[in-house]
Parts: sequence; C-alpha cells; structure tokens
Amino acid sequence: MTDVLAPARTTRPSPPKRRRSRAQRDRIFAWSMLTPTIAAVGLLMAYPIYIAINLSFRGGEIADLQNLGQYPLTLGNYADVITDPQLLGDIWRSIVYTVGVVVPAFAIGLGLALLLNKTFPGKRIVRPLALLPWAVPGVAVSAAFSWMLDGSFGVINYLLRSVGLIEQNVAWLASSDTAMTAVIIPTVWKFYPFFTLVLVAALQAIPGDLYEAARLDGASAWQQFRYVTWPALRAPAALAIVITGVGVFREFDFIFPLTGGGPDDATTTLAVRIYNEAFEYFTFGASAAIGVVTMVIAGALLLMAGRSVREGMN
Amino acid sequence: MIALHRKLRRGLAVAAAAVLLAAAGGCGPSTEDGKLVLEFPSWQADDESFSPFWHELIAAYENAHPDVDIDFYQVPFDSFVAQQTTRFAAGDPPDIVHLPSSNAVEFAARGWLAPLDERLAGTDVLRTWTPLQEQMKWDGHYYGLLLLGYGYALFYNEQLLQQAGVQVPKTPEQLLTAARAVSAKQGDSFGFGATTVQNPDNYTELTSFLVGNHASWSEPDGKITADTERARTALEQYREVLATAPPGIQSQQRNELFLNGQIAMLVDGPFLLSEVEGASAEVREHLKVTAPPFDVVPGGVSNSLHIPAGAEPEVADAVWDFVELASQPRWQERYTQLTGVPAPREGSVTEQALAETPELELFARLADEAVDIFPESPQLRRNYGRVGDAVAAAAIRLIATDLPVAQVAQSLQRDLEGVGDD
Repeated sequence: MTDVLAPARTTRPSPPKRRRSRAQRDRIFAWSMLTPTIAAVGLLMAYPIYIAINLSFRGGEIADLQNLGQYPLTLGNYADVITDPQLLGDIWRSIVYTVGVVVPAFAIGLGLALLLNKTFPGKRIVRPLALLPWAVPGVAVSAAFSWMLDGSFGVINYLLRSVGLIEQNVAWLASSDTAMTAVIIPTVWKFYPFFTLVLVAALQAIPGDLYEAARLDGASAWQQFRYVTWPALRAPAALAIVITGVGVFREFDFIFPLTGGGPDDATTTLAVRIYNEAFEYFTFGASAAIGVVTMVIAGALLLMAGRSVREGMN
Repeated sequence: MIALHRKLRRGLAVAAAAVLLAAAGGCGPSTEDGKLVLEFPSWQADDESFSPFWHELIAAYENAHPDVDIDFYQVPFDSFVAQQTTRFAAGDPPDIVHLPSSNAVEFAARGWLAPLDERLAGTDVLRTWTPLQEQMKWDGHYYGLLLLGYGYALFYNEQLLQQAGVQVPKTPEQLLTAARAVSAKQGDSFGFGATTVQNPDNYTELTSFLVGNHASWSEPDGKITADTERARTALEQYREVLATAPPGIQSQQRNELFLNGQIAMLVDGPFLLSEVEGASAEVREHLKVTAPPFDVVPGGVSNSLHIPAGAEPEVADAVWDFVELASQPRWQERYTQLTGVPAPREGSVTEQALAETPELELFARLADEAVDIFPESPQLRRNYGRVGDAVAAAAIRLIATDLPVAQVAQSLQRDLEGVGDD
C-alpha cells in the first residue's frame, strides 16, 4: 500500500485542506439524521397548530376553513371562552379525570411491574395478558365497557349485586354522580400497561448486588423498596406519569362514546368541549380558542413536570 | 455537478407538474372513464330498510344518464354530521348531500347549501308535499327536498298490557297508569321504553311529550317558552313515565328490549316498524301500534336531499335530476312500498303498499296531523345542536336527579334564552 500511495504523494501534493473536527462531523451527521424528522414533524404539527391559532383569532360565522383570511381578526373568541364560567368547570373535570386515571393506573402498573419482575410459575402467560389492554383501541374498549356498565343488564351491576355491594342496579353512565367514575374505569384499564412496561424495564436495570447488600445490612422488604427500588424507578415513573397525564388530559376516545360529555355536563372535559363547539355548535373559532387554551395548560403542566423528571434523574 | 443540478431541476419540474396536474384534477367535477361521478355518502347505504330503495333509484338514474355514475357509500350515522361538517368547512362537500333534516337548517344558515326555489318552482313538489316540507325553508328560501316527515306513534306489547290489566292508553294519564301497572309486576318487564342516558334522542322523546301537551320550546318570534305551565306539565309527565323505563340505556337497547318483549310501550316514528318485523314470532304477534296518547300528534322530519352551494353547474344539474327523480310519483310510491313508511308526496300510499303494510294507513294519517318537534324560533333552528344539548341535559336532570320540575324548567328557559348569544 505504501508503494502505491507514495508516488501520488510526491507527484501531486495535496492542497492544504481544512479538515473538520470530529465534533463538527458528529454535529453534521446528527443534523442530517434529524432533518427528515424535523421536516416531517414541522409539516405535520406546525401547520395544524398554525391553522388552529389563526382560527382562534377569527370572528364571524366561520364556514370556510380554506379562506380564513376573509374573516375579521378578533380577540372575541378568547374573551368569550375565558369569561365563560363553563371553562373552569371543563378544566376542573379534565383535572379530575386525569388524576382519577393516572393515580390508579400508576398504582396498578407499579404493582404488576413488581410482580412481573419476580419469577413465578405461569409468568410467560401472565405477562402478555397483563399488557394486552395497551393494544386494544380506545373506541373498542369504550364499546365493551358501555355494555358492561349498562344500567339494566350490565355485568358490573350483576357482579356487584351478587356480592351484596349494591341492592339495586346503578345507572353508571346516566347519573351525574357516577358518570365520571364510569369513564375513568375503562381509561385506567387501557393505560395501566404503559406504566407496567416502563417500570418493568427500569426494574430489570437495577443490579442485583444492591439488593444483596441491602439484605446483608438487614434491610426489610419495605426498606429495600424505599432505598433501592424507588430511587431507580423515580425518573422513569415521573416520565411515564407526564406522558400519560398529558395524554389523558386531552383524551376523547373514552368519554365521548360512553357519555358524550353528559349527563348534564358531568363528564364534559376540555377535549369533549372542543369537539362539541366545532361539530355540534359549528363555532369553530371558539373551539380553536379552547384548543389553544388546552395546549397552553398542557404545555405548562409539561414544563412543571419536566422539572420533576430532571430532579428525579439527578 | 452541473449535470446533477440539471437532473435535479428536471426531477423537481416533473414533480411540480405532477402535483399541479393532480391539484387541477381535484378542482373540477370528478370524472372516471369520461363519466361524471357524483359522490353520495349516506348513513342509509347499508340500512336494511332504506338501502333497497336507494339502489333501485340509483340504477334507474344511471340508466337514464349513461354519462353519470353515482358513488353511493355508507358513513355511520353516529359520525355522519361531524364528517359532513368537516367536509363542508374544508370546502370539499359531497355532490349529492343527504342530511338528517334537523341539521339541514344549520347547514343552510352557514351558506353550505344551494337554494332550490327556482328548481322546485318547475315541479309540483310544493303543491303535493307534506306541510313538513316547510322545515326545509331558511330565510325565505327552500334548501332541500324532504324525504320523510312523520308523526310519532305508540308501539305497545298487547300481552304485557293485558297481563297488567290495563287498556291501551289514549291520554298521558292513562299512559302513566299503564306503565306503572306493568312495571309493578314481578319480573324483568318495564312499563315504558326511552333513552335514559344523555343522547340526542332525549330531545325527540322529551319534546314529544311537550308538543303532545300543546306546548313548545319557543314561539316563531323567538320568545322562549320552556317555563310555561303547559311545558312544566309535560316535563312532569315525562319524568313520571320515564321512572318506569330501564335506566342507563340508549335507543338501540330500548328497541332490543321492546323486541324481546320486556318493554310494554314506547313512542317512536314509523321506521321502528321494520325492526318490529324482526322480532321473534312469539313476541311479534303481541306487538302493535296505534296513535300516540297525546292531544296533539308530535312529529318530525327525518332526512332530506340537498345540492351543495357553489357546485359546478354541470354537477348541480346532474344532482338536481337525481333529486327530481326521487320526487316523482312512481318513486315516491316505491319508497313507501320498500321502506314501509309513507313518502312525503300526497297519494304515495297505494293499495298494494297498504296490503303489504296495513300500518301505513295510520302512519299516513299521523304524518298529516303531525306538529313538528323542531323548534319554531329561527335563532333556535340555526343553533339546533346547542338546543338539542340543552334539552337533553334537562331530560337527564328529570330522569336522574330529584330536582323540582320548576327548577329544571327555569334552568332550561335560561339555557335556551342564551342560545345564539355568542
């Protein structure tokens, strides 16, 4: 090789070339890998967000979304939405729904993750079954639960009557007192496997030596969980809670098919209200304004939660 | 490098031309093999009762118009209005517009439908149609052809009423007595069937009681009348009768329970008859239908055909030919015969149809007498979605809470007065 290259070096001296540093090359490589994604995300997300924001500032009776420029610019939609007492109710119900889903889903997910991290007979069958709800579409879950929660012939009433917890059938989806619980139950069923997946992965990354050392120091099972397991789970758990929380905050698939936001607005969250304003009442501007408000709230929650995640990681 | 640029430029030019051609193709009328294709989405395309009529009508139209094809396809009813709303708002409406009539005014008021006055003036529709065709009017213009207007009827299970020792009710008071008598019996039988979860059907069911009591939600001048004495009486009747209904069910579950012989009575339109035919023989023989137990026959408009505003003249003319064909006496008679419900054209119930479906005589009479449950005030009509939600919420307060009727009526009065403020 030296013999072949040597004449070239002597006959054609290479001009002084500005060589890129390794860091520069890495940066270029990183950007070239990211560019398609950034372009796709920009097209798929930025444009709809622009349309939503544009729409939220348009007044008049909007009937043509392709020519928004013909409608006057106004702050009226925001003024109407922010001064509407219903908005606070919608935000409150969205928070109740989100907390009502995330807390039990996390508890179930954590319990299952701890169980699946152990070795027991039938684990290979239990693991996919426990994670199955994650694969079922939300609308299908809602359809199944609407029959199970049926006020007259639902299996849930039958079971509760059989064990003596209720004497008369409960109209789960028809009463303002029970409707929120009735929409939370299927949402929890759908979302707990995500926590299980994330937490099982984190649990498997904890070195066994730590538990051994803790046992040698005389730590009880609870102390092992508190001082070994939980610190390792805190960051992934916070991340999973944030992702699920934001997803549930704007969830629509479960509430709309089950209750449509009723009875008497008992399950009208921001997502349902956005839909109703646009497709039931034809008030596209107000709908977009509520959408932007929702986006701001979700963004603020993300920022706050992001801090917790970083603290967890540290 | 230059060559590469040239290739790149050529590639970009070809791609741009392809995009432009595709865009241009999307602008004009849709064609396939030189034929004009009319897009016709409907929730009735797979419906057992109505699709045979549509398929026959479309075949006849395509025979008469060999240069036109109709693309008739199913869209589920639950998402139909939302989907059409999106398409109209995005400037991409279907060619043949089929709408639930209660939403037609909302679409017309937003400038999405073409007025049909001139076209209708060249036909006998306005002379021969049911008076409910007036519901197709907005701001002095007709925007559609009504395909079905009806009066509500009382469907009942004769055996359940006999076992409870009560007669077929003719008044609201008798309805309540009969419903309570059936529900008081042991077993899984319910006196009355209704939608007892919040749903658009709450509007039709509650408003049937209201109209049946000579009341309404509003007057034509826009005055809201939800808190009058008659309205409160209707709300009270609705609450008491629905206390005998299965809790937490939707209209489909209600119908299934009726067909299973577990519900004694319900109020619905003539379209329920086709479902009754599907009941098991031992239940079917006891299922009967009669006039509703009210002084006034409540009625409604079901569905209608329209032309989208701004359609190309060629498309608008082709769609109108289709609408006009549907309005012809022959096809109106065929509609009655195939669907088992009286078509809106006078004289559509033929001897043959009567022989096949004797109930048509009752349905035709009820349709003639019917007073529409759709609100009279223009403000409420153009905001029907909000009105429907407010009334449904009031219905649920009556069904699922102990709030006094007067309080529910006052609250509904305020809600309806606020409709259209924004």
